[in-house]
Amino acid sequence: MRPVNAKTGKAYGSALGYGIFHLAIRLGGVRLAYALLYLVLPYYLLIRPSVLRVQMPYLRRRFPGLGRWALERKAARHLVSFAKVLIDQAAAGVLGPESLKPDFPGQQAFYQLAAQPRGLVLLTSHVGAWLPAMATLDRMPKPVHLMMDREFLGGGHFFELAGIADRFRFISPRGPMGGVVQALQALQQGGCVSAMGDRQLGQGRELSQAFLGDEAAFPASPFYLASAGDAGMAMLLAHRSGPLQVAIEFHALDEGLDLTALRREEAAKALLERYAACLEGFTARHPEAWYNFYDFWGQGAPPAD
Amino acid sequence: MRLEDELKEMLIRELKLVDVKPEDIKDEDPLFGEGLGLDSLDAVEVVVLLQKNYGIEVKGMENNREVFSSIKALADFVRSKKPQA
Repeated sequence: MRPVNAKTGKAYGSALGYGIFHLAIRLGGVRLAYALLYLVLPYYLLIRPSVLRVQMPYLRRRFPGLGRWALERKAARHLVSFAKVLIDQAAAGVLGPESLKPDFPGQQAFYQLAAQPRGLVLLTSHVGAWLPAMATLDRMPKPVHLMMDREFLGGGHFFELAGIADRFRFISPRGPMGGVVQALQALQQGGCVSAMGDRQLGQGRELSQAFLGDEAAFPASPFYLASAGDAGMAMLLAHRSGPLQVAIEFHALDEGLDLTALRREEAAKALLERYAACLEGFTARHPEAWYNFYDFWGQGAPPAD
Repeated sequence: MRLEDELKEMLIRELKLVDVKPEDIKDEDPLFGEGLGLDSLDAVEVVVLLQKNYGIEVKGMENNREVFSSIKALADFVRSKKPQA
């Protein structure tokens, strides 16, 4: 995944740039790639300031009291944080997924939850190190269906390079009915469906929810699917805690909720409220780990990934 | 009652379609997009309703684009799974 300009839809960085980072990882490991990052950074800070501007809608809400220069410093740190996640992902592709060191204290409880006979909607978000975290889930007791176009990964994506992509079954959000009927089928057969909770992929209904002080639009389908499929819902969050280190946490969003007693809309809204609260808590603990590089609350159309 | 009419009433009632009467929906009208205006989440509800009311398994709906194309297609699908319907 490369950061994408929401207006142009173009990815920041070039294939050559990514090739250079891959070569650096092969020659000197991630530390050489991190060093290279600091050489490249001034280009983005000085020549491509738009890469900072796209972070402002988030940073202004996360740090409401800060002035312009302080926010720009935050934005630079934000960019470095994202780039390091990308470098770690690339390293997982080049060096193998076993190079990632997961720290997942709740792992056993998570696998127990996933092992329950009923289906599970597993929400991820464009924050932290969610893709490296998914790569470390090598003992899932049931099939995991990713609501994502496999074509989006492309041959150079670390999931493909590291052979991780074959662990998953892909449901295209651009398929018939946005893939939701296929996802419902997977859930009703006890499978796990993993979807992004914070961004609409393809077209679909949205739900409004307060997030960091303002209303934002969230995709409705994952939350409806959990209710319609009589499935559980969990949320996976991860942040990069060091070189190739991923700290993972999960939250059982339906815990204590009797979804069958609620109308579909009510159930979806109750799950979304919990999801948004967990996401907000995560951004408070890891403010640099928010990677929705567009105006999440406003007019900017999200990038296609 | 014809199965097609039964399905129309079910969709209007369960999907809470306002200002739509069964006679407004032609058997061949598209259900999604330009037709009745249903969306993918309505499709999820339709699947759940077919399971609840007709005992049809979702795994029989692999070709769901065709199944959901119209009331007639939906009725044909139900008949193919439940000939007595």
